[in-house]
Amino acid sequence: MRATSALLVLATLVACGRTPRDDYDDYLERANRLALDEGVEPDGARPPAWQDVTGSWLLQAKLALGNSIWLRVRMCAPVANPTQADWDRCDPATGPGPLMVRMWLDRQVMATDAPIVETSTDVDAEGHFLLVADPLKLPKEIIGFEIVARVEMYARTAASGAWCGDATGVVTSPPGIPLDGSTFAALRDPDQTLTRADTVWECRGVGVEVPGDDAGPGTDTGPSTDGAPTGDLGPDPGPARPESPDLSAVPSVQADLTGHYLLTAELPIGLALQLWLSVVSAYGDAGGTLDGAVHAVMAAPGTPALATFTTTLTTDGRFEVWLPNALLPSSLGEVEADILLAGATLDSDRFCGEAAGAVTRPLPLMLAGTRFGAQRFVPGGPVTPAAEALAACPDVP
Amino acid sequence: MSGRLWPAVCGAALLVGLAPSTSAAPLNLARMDGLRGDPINDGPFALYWNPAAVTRPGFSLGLHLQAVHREATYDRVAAWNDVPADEAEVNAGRSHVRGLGVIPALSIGHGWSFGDFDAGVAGGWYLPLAGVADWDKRPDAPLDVPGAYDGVQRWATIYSRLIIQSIALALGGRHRPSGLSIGLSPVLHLATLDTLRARNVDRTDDLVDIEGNPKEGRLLFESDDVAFGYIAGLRWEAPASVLSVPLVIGLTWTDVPELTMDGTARIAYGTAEPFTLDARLPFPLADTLRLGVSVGLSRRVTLRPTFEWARWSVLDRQVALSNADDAPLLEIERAFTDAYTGKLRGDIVLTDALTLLVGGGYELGPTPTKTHEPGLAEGENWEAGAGLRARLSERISLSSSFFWHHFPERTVRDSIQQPSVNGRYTDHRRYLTLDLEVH
Repeated sequence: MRATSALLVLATLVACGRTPRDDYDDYLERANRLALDEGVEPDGARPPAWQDVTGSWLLQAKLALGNSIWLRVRMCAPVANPTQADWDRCDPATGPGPLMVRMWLDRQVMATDAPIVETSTDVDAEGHFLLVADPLKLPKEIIGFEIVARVEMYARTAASGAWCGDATGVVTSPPGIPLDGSTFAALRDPDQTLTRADTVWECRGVGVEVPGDDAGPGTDTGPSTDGAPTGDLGPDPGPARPESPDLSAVPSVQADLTGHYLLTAELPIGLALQLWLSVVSAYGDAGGTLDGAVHAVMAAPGTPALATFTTTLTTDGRFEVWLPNALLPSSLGEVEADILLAGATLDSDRFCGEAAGAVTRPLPLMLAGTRFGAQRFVPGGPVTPAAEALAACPDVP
Repeated sequence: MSGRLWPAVCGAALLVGLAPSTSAAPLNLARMDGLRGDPINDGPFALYWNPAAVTRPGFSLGLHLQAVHREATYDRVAAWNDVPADEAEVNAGRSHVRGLGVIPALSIGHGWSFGDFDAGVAGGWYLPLAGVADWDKRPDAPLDVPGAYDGVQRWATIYSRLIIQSIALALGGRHRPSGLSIGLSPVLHLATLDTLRARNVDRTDDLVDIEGNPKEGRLLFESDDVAFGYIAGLRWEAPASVLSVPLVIGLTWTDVPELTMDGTARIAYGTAEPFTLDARLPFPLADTLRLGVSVGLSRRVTLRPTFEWARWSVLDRQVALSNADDAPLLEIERAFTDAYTGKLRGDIVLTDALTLLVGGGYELGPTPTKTHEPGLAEGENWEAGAGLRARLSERISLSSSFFWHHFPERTVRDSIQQPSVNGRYTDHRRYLTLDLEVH
């Protein structure tokens, strides 16, 4: 390599010319500029005007992995010295400008505990501001393992007075955890009386209008099968359950499925989605129940589930699982979907079936015709490639 | 691109593409020694053409410079690609790429005589395969379709850069009485591939989704790999005692390992946040068999027919995979067939110091119409060339060749790429080589 470099010393004296990366960045810039020219944020939210965001907040962030974390945030206008604030008095802001920021875990007491992050920000005339938590250290009990990261939260204020946005950054320990695609929202909580159930994790939930979104505010602390989100923004009827796929031609048997499974789904466009499914089954004379939890396939044991469900089993081992508003990690980033899984038990180690419903983000995509298969799996162990995993299932007509 | 290959690749890229909007010929760039480049070659670049011929006693040095000019067009016909009338302005029409590249190569060798035997060693650096194609932008594209600026060929390629540099060390031996030579050249390949294309997650060329939101995205794959291959050669120069007609036969086998381009994929879909994944792209390259013959028709005229077989059928389908879960990120159909090339070249000695070089050739290219695309593709083609070789002194000679390389216009109506890239393709290339040989 040194020899080659030496041969090319003359060439390398000059900066390398334009690259495909430059064209990629140019495209992103054009796409973003387009959105702003139309008065719409890159993710579709309309820019609000400035509002005073000083005071205490309870923030929920939904990580790209699907886990949520809650932080208490206190922002105050600086006193005479622009790098200091009177945290007890917490002066309000009179217009766009700098603010001092402290963050705690939601279980901590702001008045007495030391903050885990202390930083500053600058709120602009449109109510935009950037919060940089560097480092943000989360103890093991938050999501199952300790995280050290540099997190950048791009926030904007909502008409309701709350603020929200998208987060990105770099996880330095353990490496490899994606942050891009994370979202957050903060609700004012002057007396620290809000609970986790009161919070939301994205802009839709705090009244930032998203063009084309008529699904109502995005609330809740995660997908659930009971469908009724918590929070004070009104009930959400949730997405409509699609028609069940017909699996009558697929043989099915009664078998104890209790255990861990690698679930592989092949979307009609060829995209593969793999998840770790933990289920407990029990049968009676008239059928049975199937309770389960959905995890990211690479999640470490101990990590909270992305979603949980309970459903019934027919006497011959058939079942349906309805997962509305599911946020699932995939090789294409976080996928938001309303998924109906119709399954048939092949034996005590395998179940297969077909999915219905739709992916709603990053783009609308109908799931009709999506095959899935599940086979026993050791959490944290090797992951069978998607094609091989699906080969174990018979074709679903 | 990982940092380990950056200095070398950046330099090579600069040499391949001196101008910002530059392209060079894809697939095969090796034209060291111009019209003299064939399995008979016994010059400094025999380490590439036939390592059995590095045995010439004494010191040798070869400096090669090649200028490449390419001009290609792609006309995406709306009706052949199911492009709706209201999207024809940005998803159909003509794209154009044109540019000049300069490619160097270097070789140094030495040979010794031991009784009836000659032995030689040569080391060198060259670029056997490369392609840089930065298609013209469309500044007049409508602003409400941000992707359209990158041209209608963007669904296949916007800017692609494949560069394979090779460092070879050739060893050869010759039994002088029989005229038989054998040689082997282990080769270190340093490969980089950076490619950007428009991409939708469902492989369509839709501009908006069913809700009217922007859908067109981008996929940038930046990767590199290092691999070893070899070139093996046989050469027989008929002794005068056996045959009165000057006859040389050369046979070369070039083995190229399957590359696994490892790097990152940067993906932006529609209005979703862009994200980055570790990814890889298996990239098999063709092994090549070359057979060449040199026949002296008279004291002044020599004919050199050559046959080449390149095993491009190894390139059937390319799938970029996520390293995290082997999910396919990009699938490109290739269905390449083996490429066959026939060339006929000749040397005409004008004076003791000046030789005229002429030649022509035809190649049955590897790319079928169904997988032809504006990126990596070559159909049938033919070339013609002429050059001069001048002996400047007893030990120094200079040669130059000009090649006119023509790809007949290709009409594609059976594209299996997703999205389809049916349309009309043209491709014209010119090469000018300059070789300085010290021996």
